[in-house]
Amino acid sequence: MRLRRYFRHLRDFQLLGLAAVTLVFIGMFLASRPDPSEARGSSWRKVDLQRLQQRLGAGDLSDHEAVWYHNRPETVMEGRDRGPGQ
Amino acid sequence: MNPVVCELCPRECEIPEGGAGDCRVRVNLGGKLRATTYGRPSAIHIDPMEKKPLYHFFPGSKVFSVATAGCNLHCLNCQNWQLSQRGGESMEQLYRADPSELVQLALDQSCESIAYTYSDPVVFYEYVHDTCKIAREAGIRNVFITAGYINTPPLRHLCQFLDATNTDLKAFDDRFYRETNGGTLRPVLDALVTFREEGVWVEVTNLLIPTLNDDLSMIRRMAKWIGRELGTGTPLHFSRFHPQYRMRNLPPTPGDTLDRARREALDAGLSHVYVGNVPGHEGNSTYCPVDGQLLISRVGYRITEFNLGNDGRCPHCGEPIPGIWQ
Repeated sequence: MRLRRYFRHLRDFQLLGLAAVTLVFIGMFLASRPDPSEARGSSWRKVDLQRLQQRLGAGDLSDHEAVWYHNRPETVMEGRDRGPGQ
Repeated sequence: MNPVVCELCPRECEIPEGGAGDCRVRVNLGGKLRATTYGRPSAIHIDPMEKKPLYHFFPGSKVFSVATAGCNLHCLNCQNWQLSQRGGESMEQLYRADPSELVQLALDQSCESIAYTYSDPVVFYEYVHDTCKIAREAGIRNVFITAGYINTPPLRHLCQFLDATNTDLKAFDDRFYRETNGGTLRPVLDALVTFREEGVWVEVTNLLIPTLNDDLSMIRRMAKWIGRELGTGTPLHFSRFHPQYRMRNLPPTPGDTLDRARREALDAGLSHVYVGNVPGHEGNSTYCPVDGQLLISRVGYRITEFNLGNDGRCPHCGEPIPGIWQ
């Protein structure tokens, strides 16, 4: 009762309600965000392509083809095994 | 756009043309995935085996250590972040050493092993693979120092060339992995089991970070799991945390915490539990699990006393000590 009286004096029940609803929405938004470490296939990065090409051209880096990958959509690269020596 | 899907690690990044995987070093150029740091290490060093740490694998031997840029985890407390959290194009230091040259360098330096280490060798898989093959033919052993965040098929394929691993088990808690390392626990446990199944010598490191992964009940569960899945003779190294990179808000691990963790893991049934990053701690040394005799005394990375028999047994009671000793 004392608490109700206190809030009546503030006369901002509506404001408190609005704040509570906002907090609930923020909470729901945060909870619904996919965990980046869980999301497969989403975590690629942009690279400084110009710099990369320069350093590849200079031989500082290598353009050795990786193994253990496939093209999207699911078409396995022609003439290439999925794993080394397999 | 020619996107590719990298199958190497559990992230399975779908990478558009001109983009890199989460590791920064596997790049899609023209619809083909390129391992841009192949043959281009950024760190080369000669270390004692104890620094890896591997305590039950050719103790006191020299190991030729190599790393390239990039990593597929993003630990807030990474101690090699200048190497691991960068792509090859931004590295100042890039050596040129093809697999055969690397093996020759190791031979020239009288190293009996090559360690793929510092950053995570998972991201320079092809370089590791090709070097391992040549090293083995040359009689050099291969040591894989990793966080174990890799898919099982590529790991199983690589294991045929590996002799030993120290795998970082960062916590026995998936939430910790997600929040502190940007990964997940399950693939790491799978990797540890794969190493064991494939006959690779396994030691495990657990870095204890105050308040984040030093709960004794979790440590007990982790030790029990190691004993059950990898064997009670598997060495477990508790390592002391030092504040660095993006985790400077926590203090170094107190000595008491390390002592309690070691006691808990021993009580849970593991025979060889060590304390690292605390030179002179009794947990640096190897004791016989049966009679408690000091077998190998260490101060930091240095062996100060070696009492283990040539046959890898305790000279007092004859207990075989698991490991690859010579």
